[in-house]
Amino acid sequence: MEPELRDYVGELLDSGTVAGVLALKDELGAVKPYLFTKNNEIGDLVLTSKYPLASVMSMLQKEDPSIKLAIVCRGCDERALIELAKRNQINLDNIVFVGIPCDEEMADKCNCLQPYPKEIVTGEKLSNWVPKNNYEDFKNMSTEEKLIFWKGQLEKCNKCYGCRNACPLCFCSDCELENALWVKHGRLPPEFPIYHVIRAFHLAGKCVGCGECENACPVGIPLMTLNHLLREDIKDLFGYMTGQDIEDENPINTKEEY
Amino acid sequence: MKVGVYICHCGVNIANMVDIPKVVEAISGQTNVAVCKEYQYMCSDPGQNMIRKDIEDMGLDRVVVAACSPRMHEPTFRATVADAGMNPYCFEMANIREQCSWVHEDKEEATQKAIDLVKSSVARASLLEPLQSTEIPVTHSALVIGGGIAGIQAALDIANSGFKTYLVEKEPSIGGRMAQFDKTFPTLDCAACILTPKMVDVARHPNIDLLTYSEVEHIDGSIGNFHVQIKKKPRYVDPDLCTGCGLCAEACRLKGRISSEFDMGIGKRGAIYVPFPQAVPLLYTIDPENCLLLKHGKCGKSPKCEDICDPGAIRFDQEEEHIDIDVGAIVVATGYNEFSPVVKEEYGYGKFKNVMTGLELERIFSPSGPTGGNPIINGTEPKNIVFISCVGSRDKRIGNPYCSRVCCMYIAKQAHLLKEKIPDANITVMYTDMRAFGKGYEEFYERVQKEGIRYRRGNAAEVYEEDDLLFVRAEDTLLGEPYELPADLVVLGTGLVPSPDADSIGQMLHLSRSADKFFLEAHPKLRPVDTVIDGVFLAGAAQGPKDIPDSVAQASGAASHVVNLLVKEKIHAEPIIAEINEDACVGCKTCIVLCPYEAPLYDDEKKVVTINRAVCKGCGSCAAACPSGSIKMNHFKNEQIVAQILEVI
Repeated sequence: MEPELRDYVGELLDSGTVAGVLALKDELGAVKPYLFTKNNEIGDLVLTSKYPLASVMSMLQKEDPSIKLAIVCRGCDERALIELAKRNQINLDNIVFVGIPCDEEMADKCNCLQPYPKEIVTGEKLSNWVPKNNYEDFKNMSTEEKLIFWKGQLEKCNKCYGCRNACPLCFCSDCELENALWVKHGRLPPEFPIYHVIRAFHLAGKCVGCGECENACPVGIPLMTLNHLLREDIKDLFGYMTGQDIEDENPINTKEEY
Repeated sequence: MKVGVYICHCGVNIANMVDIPKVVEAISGQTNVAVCKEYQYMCSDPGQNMIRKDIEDMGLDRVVVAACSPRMHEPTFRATVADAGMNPYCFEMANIREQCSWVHEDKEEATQKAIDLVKSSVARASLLEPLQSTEIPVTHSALVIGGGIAGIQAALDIANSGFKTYLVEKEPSIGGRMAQFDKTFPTLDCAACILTPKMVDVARHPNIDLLTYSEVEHIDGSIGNFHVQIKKKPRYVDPDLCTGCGLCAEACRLKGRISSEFDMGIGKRGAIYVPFPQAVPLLYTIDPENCLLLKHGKCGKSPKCEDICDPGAIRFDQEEEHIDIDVGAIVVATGYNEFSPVVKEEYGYGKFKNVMTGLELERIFSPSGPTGGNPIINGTEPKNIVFISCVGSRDKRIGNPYCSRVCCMYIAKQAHLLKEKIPDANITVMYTDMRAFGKGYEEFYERVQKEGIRYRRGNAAEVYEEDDLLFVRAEDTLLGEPYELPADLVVLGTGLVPSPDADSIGQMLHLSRSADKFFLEAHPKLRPVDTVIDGVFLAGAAQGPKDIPDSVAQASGAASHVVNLLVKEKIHAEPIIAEINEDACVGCKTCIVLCPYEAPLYDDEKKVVTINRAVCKGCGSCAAACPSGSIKMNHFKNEQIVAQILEVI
């Protein structure tokens, strides 16, 4: 998969289609996000592991809104870019998508609902993919059991803001999670459950299920359980899936026309 | 911080269910509370004086009145505290009547709740910030949208008060629905005879700029300063040269071949026409949809209208014009359409030619109508006539649960006119309930019954045809028996629906609609001509079904509100609006999507949103949804609301 992709990306650079390609670079065993601008660097381009590249793209575009860049993106990266575009944080016209699918191991790790982007440059997308974990154990709990479960989990929180910092859809410069009116300063763990409820509210109709928050959490709070259920509710209530099409209107943010 | 708290008895309204001395005791001595007093009626002069005196004597900087809903008396008390030199926005009201005494039955619990509500208001009041309103200059002119009787009346009233008034009508002539009527109920005045003089007054009025065959395209701005763009459609006739002689219409190759909208499709006109002889302005108009030259580029050897017009008024090269005007106030008088009975399939409208609507029959009666006023329906004089009331009204099945407010009476009028013209006719009115509520209506209904017109309660189930004869099947709900009547004319008492133009006008002005889709007034009883948009008023059937007297009365009401506004040099803008911290805004446009009034605007340069203070209504949708918390609602800041909530949980 990698050699084919390197050829493809090299062609994008050589032809001048894009000024750079945002992807991952292996530098002496350390994988990090990198903007490839020269063909001779492309040998270091790797596909694993996983990194929230959409946020990096948003930052790059804010530096230079006119520059045209490509991004090697997984399904979740693509969905994040589409959701960012809906919120005026990115201009899709200046982005060339270089789609790659996730293999079964990665898709399982994230329990991903859609482990592939809309168009794939190289590799095979998992056919008939259904995530294995349906959170049935959690759903079967009574309301009291759920409360106990979450109290136990959220008590571990040390308010490192890792979940927010890693989230590709958290783009505000001023964050309500730092507003002392809601989340008291100097208190650990944060008052149950306001910190995580604010995040859940902000992510409804926005979360693309990339799993970065849960990855980032140093104390292992199962944030994807919360996010998965949130995504399921939005789908059941409004028939809405995030990151599918720029034209899809976010049902959480609409008004009824009279 | 010194908060003065005043607990109102509201006579017995509050005092009966809330132990007021107990509330006073509980509130006195609370943080920031400098004084807590009770009084029978806080809104009375002595009540208000008590507050003024305490502000002056004790130097209060916040005042809480615990009484009724702020809807009525918040403005009263704001004025009171302002009189005594306090900022009016440092006043707070606790509602212990509607939200407490009136809805509870246990005095002890109600008292505790009243204490909690007052504490909550004190907590909020302590965090209130003084706000300053800004002054906006007023443009001393008005726009009236719609040239029916309501629009005509409103325009005349405003113009007579000395203000420039633009009256916009989409049809070639003003007059609206009333111009289509023959007689008016219950006085049987000839509609044209009472309407035409008013139409002429409009045309001649020095303060009225009449824009017929024109449509409002765009409106922005706000109270005192609206900017309006109007499209003037081409008539293809020079208004300065046309004398209204009508030779062109006589000469038109399509004369008598096009359905006349004014005659509800029963009469015919040519491609160049005036809708009716008393049209104002009396200018001919070429219908581009049908004119041979405009549609096909060819009309015989040369267009006959052009050949015959001596003054040379025909202008096939006329183009639409766009006119920009500035006005301080707007009256919406877009009127109504007749309900289309096609969806009531059981009555066979559109299928049987002798089933017609009330408005169609109105054109048959009119001396200038397609039959010259003779009661000839499809070539013959009907003898057995059935009227069916409430067609498209009071009908949940088709989604119109409201009463048309006119069909009972226009049926009575039309039955009377038919009986007068055809004395030996058998006329039956099938009615749901008789609603003769206006002045002289009941008397007229009685008169019509005495003329031999049969009223049978219970609506028609079906109209069907057998051997070229129509039959109406119905149930007499008083006798409890079904019956059938033969009919050679069935008249459907069709109801009223909003004009389709209400959609675009409503969107341009951000007006709300009630469940019946008519425009929503600001308050059903106390502000029936205002809308929630300041500077925009309603007149006539645009707000809901109305007869002529009510339309005229409301139009004059709307005009007086317009004049109240236009006489002012400056108005005060409400400071309870949203404010944005541009440094924290990330330009996600969430607020732009949600705002019903187009107050947030995206600044392409700065990549952030700014708020147009003049159009913001302070609804708070943006502030609630802003993900970064960059938008704050003045007077309803998070800190103020949280403090209020924390006191009651």
